[in-house]
Amino acid sequence: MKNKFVILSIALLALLAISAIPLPAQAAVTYGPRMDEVLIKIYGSDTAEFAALEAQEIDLVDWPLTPTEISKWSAPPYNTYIALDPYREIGMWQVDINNNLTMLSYPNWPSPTSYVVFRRAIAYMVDKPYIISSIVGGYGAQMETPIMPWLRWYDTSITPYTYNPAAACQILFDNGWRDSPDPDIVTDVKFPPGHPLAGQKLKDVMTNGPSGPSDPGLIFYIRSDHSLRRQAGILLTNGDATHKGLEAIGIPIDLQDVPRQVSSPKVMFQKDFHLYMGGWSLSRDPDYLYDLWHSDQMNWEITEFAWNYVNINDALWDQYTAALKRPATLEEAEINAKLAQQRFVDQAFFIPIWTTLGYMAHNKALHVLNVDSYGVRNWWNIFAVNKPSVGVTGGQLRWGFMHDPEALNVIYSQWVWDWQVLDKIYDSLLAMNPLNIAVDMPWMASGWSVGTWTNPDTGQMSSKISYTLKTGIKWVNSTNGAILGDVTPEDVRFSFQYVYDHVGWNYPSVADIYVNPDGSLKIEIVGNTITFYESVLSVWALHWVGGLPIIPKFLFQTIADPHGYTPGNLGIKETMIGSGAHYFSGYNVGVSMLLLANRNYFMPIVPNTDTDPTYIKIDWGIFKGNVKSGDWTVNVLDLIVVAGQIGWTGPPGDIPADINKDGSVNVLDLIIVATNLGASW
Amino acid sequence: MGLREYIIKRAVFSFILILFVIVLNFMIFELMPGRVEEMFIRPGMRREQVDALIRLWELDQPAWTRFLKMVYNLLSGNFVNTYSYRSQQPISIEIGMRLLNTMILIGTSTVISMVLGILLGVISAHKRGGKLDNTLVLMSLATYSFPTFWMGMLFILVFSIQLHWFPSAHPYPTDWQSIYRDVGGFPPPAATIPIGGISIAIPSLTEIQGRVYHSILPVAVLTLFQYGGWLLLARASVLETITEDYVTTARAKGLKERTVLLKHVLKNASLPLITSAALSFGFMLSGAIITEGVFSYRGFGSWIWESVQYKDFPVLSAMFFIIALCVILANFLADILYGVIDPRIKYG
Repeated sequence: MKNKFVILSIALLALLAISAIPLPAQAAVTYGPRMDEVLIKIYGSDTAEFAALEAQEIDLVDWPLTPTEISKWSAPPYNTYIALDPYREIGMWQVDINNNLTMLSYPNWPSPTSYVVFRRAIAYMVDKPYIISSIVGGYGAQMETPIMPWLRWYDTSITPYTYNPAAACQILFDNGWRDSPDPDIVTDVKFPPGHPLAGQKLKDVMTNGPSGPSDPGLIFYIRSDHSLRRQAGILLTNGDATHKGLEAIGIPIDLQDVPRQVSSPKVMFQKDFHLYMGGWSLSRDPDYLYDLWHSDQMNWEITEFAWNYVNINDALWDQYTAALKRPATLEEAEINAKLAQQRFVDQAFFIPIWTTLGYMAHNKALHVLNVDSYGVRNWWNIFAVNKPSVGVTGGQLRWGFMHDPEALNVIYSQWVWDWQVLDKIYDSLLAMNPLNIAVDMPWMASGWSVGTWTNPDTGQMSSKISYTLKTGIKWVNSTNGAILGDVTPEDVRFSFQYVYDHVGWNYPSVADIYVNPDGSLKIEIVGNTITFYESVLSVWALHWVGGLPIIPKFLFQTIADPHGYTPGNLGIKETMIGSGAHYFSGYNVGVSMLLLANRNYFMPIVPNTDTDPTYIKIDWGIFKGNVKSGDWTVNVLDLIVVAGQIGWTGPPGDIPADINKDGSVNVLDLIIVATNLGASW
Repeated sequence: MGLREYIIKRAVFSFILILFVIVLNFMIFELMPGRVEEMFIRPGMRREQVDALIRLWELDQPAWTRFLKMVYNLLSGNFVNTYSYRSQQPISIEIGMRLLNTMILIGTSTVISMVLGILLGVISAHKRGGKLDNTLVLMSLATYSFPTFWMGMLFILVFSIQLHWFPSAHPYPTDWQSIYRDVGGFPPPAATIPIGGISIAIPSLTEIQGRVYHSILPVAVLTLFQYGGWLLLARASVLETITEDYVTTARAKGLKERTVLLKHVLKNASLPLITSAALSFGFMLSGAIITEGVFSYRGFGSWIWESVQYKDFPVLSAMFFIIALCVILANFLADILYGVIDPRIKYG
């Protein structure tokens, strides 16, 4: 204790001495993204877009490469000007299985895929390593559950299903679906004892599928517009020279080789399918297990269209995923994520196969910031990318897009290309550290605090999240980026209320905020601090709230019905008013779109990641409480904050002042900050 | 029956045909299986969103109401109140953007391939059996047989990726979006001429140059693909005519060979060419689905393709009507031209 006091005293004396030294004058700071312009060039296909990169007409692609491009661009002459960017996706490709008891085409008796043993048999027929090597060209990582294998939430103890036709036949035989356990004996699968059609062959009964009696069997939608999924589906159905498919072990398949526009309504709307080669983009937080597949999501809201189109309806799974959605701590989340995965594998609700592990690409003239799990198309890269030949700032980024956005509607847009544009225009309170996606960074907020309160309706302790909005954040127009006004805490409150009232696409961000008797959300403003009162306790509440795009109240309060291509079908430039790093300049549909750097942005340009290894300490910016001046220099204020928090402990990385992330704020953190005094980025 | 009566009769028939096309156009899409809105609904979309779309597309109206409105819209060319299922925008906006692109691409390639093909066809027929004839026929068959997507990709590889001579995509320079950002992303017109309350913009030299530069590769692909058909047709027609007695007579009169070929042979051989030309121009607005796709060229062809994929019935309905209308009008004009070119043809 005495030693600690001495060290602290010395440190404080040093601090006082240092603070007496005048800091060097700050150079003029440029705000916003490094590059002046983002010219988005739109191509109708990946082939056309990749050809444009080869022709040096674009600098950056927006989509993972195919094995053909990876191989071609790794060799001369392409590798002299094209760089490949490793990319591992947070997402998966899977065989979706309809777990529902019945379905539209066969409404009168239980579907085979509603039987867990039948689903397990199918799981044994999927040779994941073979699909990855032969179809995906090796550019994939095997998936056993819907959680990325490299994340903390993944349960490494589960026993995966491995390709084993003998095991599939054995399980079908043991449960009365097959007459023989021998996969080499050709026999048709039949309905088991206890089923209303017991003893009848599937192929004799299942004739109501899209192909009719000519091709009876389980309705299996593959995607004619997605080569990899299509090939995997055909392999699972028909097998090849070295592999038995489902047909070979007697499970009849009515294969539907159709584009997304045909399969989506059948699978996701009517749920009239047994199997579907599906795909999901997922996120870093595992609470999507609840959002996508809890039984509450079978008929979300009041439409028949739901996330949980595979109709998982299992009490244990629901229990674990509900607990995962609302855990008090990360540890509790981890436990429930793992329990949920164990249940998932046991019940074989569906069969994850692989996640993309490949490359995107850029022209070597660019200096990029590749973010793990998000690739070079991530927000940070568009913010930080530059052309060294032009300079740290300035120049034009030519970015290839495979598709036009389907809508530019910050309330209702859903598609990936919509949000690739919208997230440049609208900001949110929280950001993700690009060098470590597990670490949060305050963005429009200068900081946050997490607490609890007692929900008066339930009497339960619930989450309370406070964000302090930075001052100096501006709304800018879509003509020349001129300032229209300040972003205020009232804008933040309005954004949440508006999405809640209009049930926008980001509804999950607001769904659990406590609703006052008058229908307003319980959001309180004191000065620049906005406090959100959740109706439940959840460690994820910080992210739910922090991720919502903030919209200008002065504009949206005039839009009664925000449906349409743009909110209320107003002009694009009229409605694309945000506070983001770029502002919207123009759009020639099908050809190009221009985003310009918002030089009235509240954040200065990012440093050179090659020459400044302290870049990761970008979250030090919060120490100053207000970075609108753009002064990201480590200074005496940072020392004071760290000194004031000495003795604080918590999970490594949870406390911003815990610089070396050893779980406590101590003198070592103080020394790190002191030795970096004057460093800026 | 005189020419005037013939034109009136043909006009009436054409109008009846147009009405028939409209009815057929409506019935085809009305009888399609499935619910249209299902194509545009995604997981998580809520009932009120679906209802809003249904109202926007007027799918909540009875069929006869929609039919009458469609008849009115199509006959009056009013696509402002017809909304695309996919973009939820009035179709007129998209038509305006794509029409010029398609006319440049298909119009130019059709005219060039027609002129080139007919000219070479006449030469080929004149030199029938010789080396030049064999070479021209072989070349035309070859280019006619190459798939357009293959030719397009080959052209991109050579002229865009290797030589950097021409851009690989788009109907005009994408840089315009940045250069002319303050004036809508396009070079300002050289002049604007008011005609009857409508302002006609005369494109600037910069715009013309930009569009021509970007159209060279796709136009070249389509020209190479099309000229062979014209060559073979012209050659066959000329060969049929070249042995006629009046050609021999013309030569006996001492006329120059060029005059014989162009004035006596080609003119009399031109009837099948006129029919073909009429159909070509009639189908001009249907675009070139594959070539537009390869070159990311936003025209009617790619629009039809996208609309088929998305079951965007209002767009398909409008496009089919426009194409049918063009074909009917082109045939109408061809029928009249027959009589003008060949006085042996009598109306009646």
